[in-house]
Amino acid sequence: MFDFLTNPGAMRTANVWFAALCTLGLYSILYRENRFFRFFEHLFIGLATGYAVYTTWNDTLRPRWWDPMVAEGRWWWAFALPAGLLFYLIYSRKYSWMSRLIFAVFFGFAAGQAFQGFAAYYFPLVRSAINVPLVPAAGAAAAPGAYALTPMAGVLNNLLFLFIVISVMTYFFFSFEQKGPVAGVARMGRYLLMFAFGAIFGSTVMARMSLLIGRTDFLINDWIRQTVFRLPG
Amino acid sequence: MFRPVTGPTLWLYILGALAASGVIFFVLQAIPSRLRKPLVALITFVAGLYYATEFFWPVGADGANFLTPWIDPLAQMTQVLQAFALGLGVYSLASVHLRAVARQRSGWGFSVVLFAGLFAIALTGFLREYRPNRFNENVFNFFFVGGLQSLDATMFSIIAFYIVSAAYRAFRVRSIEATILLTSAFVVMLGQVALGQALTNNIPNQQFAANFRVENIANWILTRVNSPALLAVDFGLGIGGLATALRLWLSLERGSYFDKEL
Repeated sequence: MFDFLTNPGAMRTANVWFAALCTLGLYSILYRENRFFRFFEHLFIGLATGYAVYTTWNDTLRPRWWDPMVAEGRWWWAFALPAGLLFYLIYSRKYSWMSRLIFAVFFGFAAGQAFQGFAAYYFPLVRSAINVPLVPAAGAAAAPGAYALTPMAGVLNNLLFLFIVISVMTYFFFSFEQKGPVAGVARMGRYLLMFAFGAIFGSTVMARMSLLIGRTDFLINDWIRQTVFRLPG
Repeated sequence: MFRPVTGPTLWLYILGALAASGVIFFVLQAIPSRLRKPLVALITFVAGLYYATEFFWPVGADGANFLTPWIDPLAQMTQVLQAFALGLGVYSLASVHLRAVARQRSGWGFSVVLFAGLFAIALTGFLREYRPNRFNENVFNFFFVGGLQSLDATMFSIIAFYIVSAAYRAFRVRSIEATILLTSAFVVMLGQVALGQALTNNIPNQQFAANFRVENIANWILTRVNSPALLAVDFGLGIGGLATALRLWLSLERGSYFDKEL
């Protein structure tokens, strides 16, 4: 009865039909709130949660906790179970304070790692931001037809880079009232931030559009053309 | 510090560790209420002290100090404990939807669908791992590729429609900031589509004229304006994060969670 489940062609067809129904189900919200959408919305949450449970066991708990403890005999990993279960005491009125202990461990780790993270991530960033060449390199002649690579253009871009970093940081500097030229630089920082936010907005729109194009392409080609009408791809 | 054990003795050790944890649990429960907050603060401080000390302690020629070898085991322990915390979310979700099913609230059938999806993909995932065969692989792929992946891509692509509506609202705001934002967004979008690139296709992509091609302008905005502005924001975030970390580490943070009596 379930022979088709071992047939790659039949399974591909089933997958495409299921994916098409899921896609149309979610897109139906664009018309209005409806039961078809709610069905697939709940299915999505269920599948995502079930997949998270599966991957948490398979990718983390089994290789990093269960196998070292049971297969390699590192019995001390057994202490991780009661420590992990402390999280769940948050639901107990009597013992909920004990859940703070495990949260405290994570707060402490996160705080301690912030020092390392700051040094590892921000120090190189500061260095890269201030260590930009502002003087044209001697003898660095531009390649023919490569205007963007000429030393002078690079110097101007680096100056602009520094100016933007400083002006945006000035805008976020609230320790004293911004007056006179500082206020002007801060205002310029706000405008430059808008430039950056616009660029992010544009990139985000394009990323979402490419997802939309991907789903539309799937519906038209994979589902309607190749699966429903059996046309060559 | 400990030695691995094999054979039936292993289970005795594991049971012993669990029993020791039980004893610690009862000792902790016996701690008076007034000492609980200081204990939580102490644990936070000690946990943070390891990473802080490891960072500030001088290192040898190999770039490591006496605390460095513990970083990997500690990271592994953190990952394991974090994985246990996933159950908090699952429990919360399940309790809401189980209640809806038990009381047959409006739309309780959708909660049944949620549980069906949850168990279907989790069970087929485990079967695929522990009983690998074509049948289990195909059934898992049906739920993962046919279901989850397509639902995921579709859900995020829906945002494209709402972004257009957001852009329309932003266009109606007439200020210098909104104009700059939309001009920048428009140029970046134009530079990434073939239609936009076709507009300036006649301009040679060489010498000074290349600066007027829309894709080059978009690229310049992204790399020369967007990057430094976000770098400056990032610096602010980093300093703010460091200050918050310090407050957490020293238990100076205030709020409903931290001020609650234990």
